[in-house]
Amino acid sequence: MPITRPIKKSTEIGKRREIIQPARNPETSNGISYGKYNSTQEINFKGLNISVEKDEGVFHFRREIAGSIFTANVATTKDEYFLEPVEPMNIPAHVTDFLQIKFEEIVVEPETTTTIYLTMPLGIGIFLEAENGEMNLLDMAGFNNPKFALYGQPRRGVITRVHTSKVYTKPPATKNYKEAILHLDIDNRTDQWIKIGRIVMYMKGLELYYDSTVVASCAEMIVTSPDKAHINCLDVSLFDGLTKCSGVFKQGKISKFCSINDVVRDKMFTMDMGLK
Amino acid sequence: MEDDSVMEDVTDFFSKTFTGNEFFDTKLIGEITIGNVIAIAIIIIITIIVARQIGKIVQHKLMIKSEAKEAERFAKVIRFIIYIIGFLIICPQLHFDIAGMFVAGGAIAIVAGLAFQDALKNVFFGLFMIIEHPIKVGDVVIINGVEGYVEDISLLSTKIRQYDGLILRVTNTSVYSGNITNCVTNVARRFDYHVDVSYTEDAEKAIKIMKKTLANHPLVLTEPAPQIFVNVLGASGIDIEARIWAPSEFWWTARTELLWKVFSDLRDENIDIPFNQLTLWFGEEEAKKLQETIEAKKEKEEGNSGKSTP
Repeated sequence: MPITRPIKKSTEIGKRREIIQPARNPETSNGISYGKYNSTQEINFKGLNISVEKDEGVFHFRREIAGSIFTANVATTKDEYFLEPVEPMNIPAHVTDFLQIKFEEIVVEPETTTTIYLTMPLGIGIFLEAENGEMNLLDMAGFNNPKFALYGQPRRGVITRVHTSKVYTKPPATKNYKEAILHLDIDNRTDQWIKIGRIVMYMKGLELYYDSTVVASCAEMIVTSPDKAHINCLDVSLFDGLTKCSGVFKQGKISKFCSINDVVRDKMFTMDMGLK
Repeated sequence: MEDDSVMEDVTDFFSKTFTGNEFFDTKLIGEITIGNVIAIAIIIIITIIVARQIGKIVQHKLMIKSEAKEAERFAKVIRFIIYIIGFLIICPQLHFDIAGMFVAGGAIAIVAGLAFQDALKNVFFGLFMIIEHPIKVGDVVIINGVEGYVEDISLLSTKIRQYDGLILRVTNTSVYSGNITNCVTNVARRFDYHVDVSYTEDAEKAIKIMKKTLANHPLVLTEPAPQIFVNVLGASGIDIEARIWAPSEFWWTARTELLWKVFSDLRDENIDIPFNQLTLWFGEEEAKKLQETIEAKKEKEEGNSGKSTP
């Protein structure tokens, strides 16, 4: 019998982050440097080339990655742009607002909470900031080859950006230009052993935090029956000293990629078509 | 019957409340008293408030399900109905004979109904479409064989923008009573390809190449996974069928992009895709006769060309 305890946000993550230290990828010295750039600084990083030419108050912006070229003329008074990790959406187009991470099945004991770490894909956002502080997304690029999958059935389902991850018990080493760490608290509120092999998140709530070497996010999964769980993305920094990303999510109609009623409640997504 | 008694109760309430003393019974215009005027003013205010509030609630509830324009239109209809009810409550205060009005109104309604029956039918089907929602603005639909985007749904008709840019106006009666295929109700949609490879080729190798091509394309869904299999041993080659799912919104993009990629990748791997061909066999006797005829014709042609040479 499923136990129907009220859903509440986990408060454990704040305590844990003090003792957890991020794993540093040996490649991190070769990781991308997020932050502020000006028009004299060109970026050439593993096939991502960004250049800006200044022409009397108009900046000619050019980005190239894997044969895909984006150009824009920007009229701005500020001679700078920002590189930040962003949610893995809008590449190659706005196909969905949902992210599905598949992983090796884990079995969770009844009425317990466990924490795992997964990797998740990310995009690189190029932002402009106006004098009044208004940030604007100019362009997005990504090092991942995006793939999509249907969670559920064509008649009752959700189109998701899909990613496969290993299951880690501590924060894994990741490439900060390609993947982020996802801290996932699994709260099995049922009195049964539960098998879990995937999570689906609504990217509205996905908050990324970054520093020079790592990008991370937190979420919780509250399992209320063997086939049903609520996924909450949490606005919490996994490690001390991380900066919050600007984010690119814009609220729109989700009926184009979600044909199920009542599975999205603000930032929470309810997986009711299986957890494996 | 119950509605009638409610109406009567309401009209009685206003008639009795604002009468019975000298001030209320002072006549202003004809039989209309000060009490009547006060009652009319109160009824008008209440009607406006009720119409606005109910209209707002209806619009808000419908906007969750449908386009803002449709919801607004439906709310207008509801408001209009409430105003009519308000007017009917006011009538006794103006000393109009409602029964007589209903008789006259009934006769007018019958005449109007006969004259505008098609228009009224469309209006009702328009309302049904707003409530039932088989299609909405922006959907890709096939209605009675016409395919395109739903541009607008009004009370009388639905506009379909066909792929060539032409706008087709279909009456709501035809839409509602006809066959509607909504291509984007489901979030994922399938399309199929049939690729013939030559009998001299390894079909398994061709399938492997096709699988790789599909796996590299972002819009091909990994779940449900594409199915690729030998479908038929055809007249000209081995027919390989691919069943591919894509997000409904990007179905056309995926369908148009992929076929050439599949063909190019097969060609790059030297997989022969044959033209339609037919091998005719006449039997030995017939073949011999045919050979002789061809040779005789050839000799004759050579003889003719030799004569014409100077």
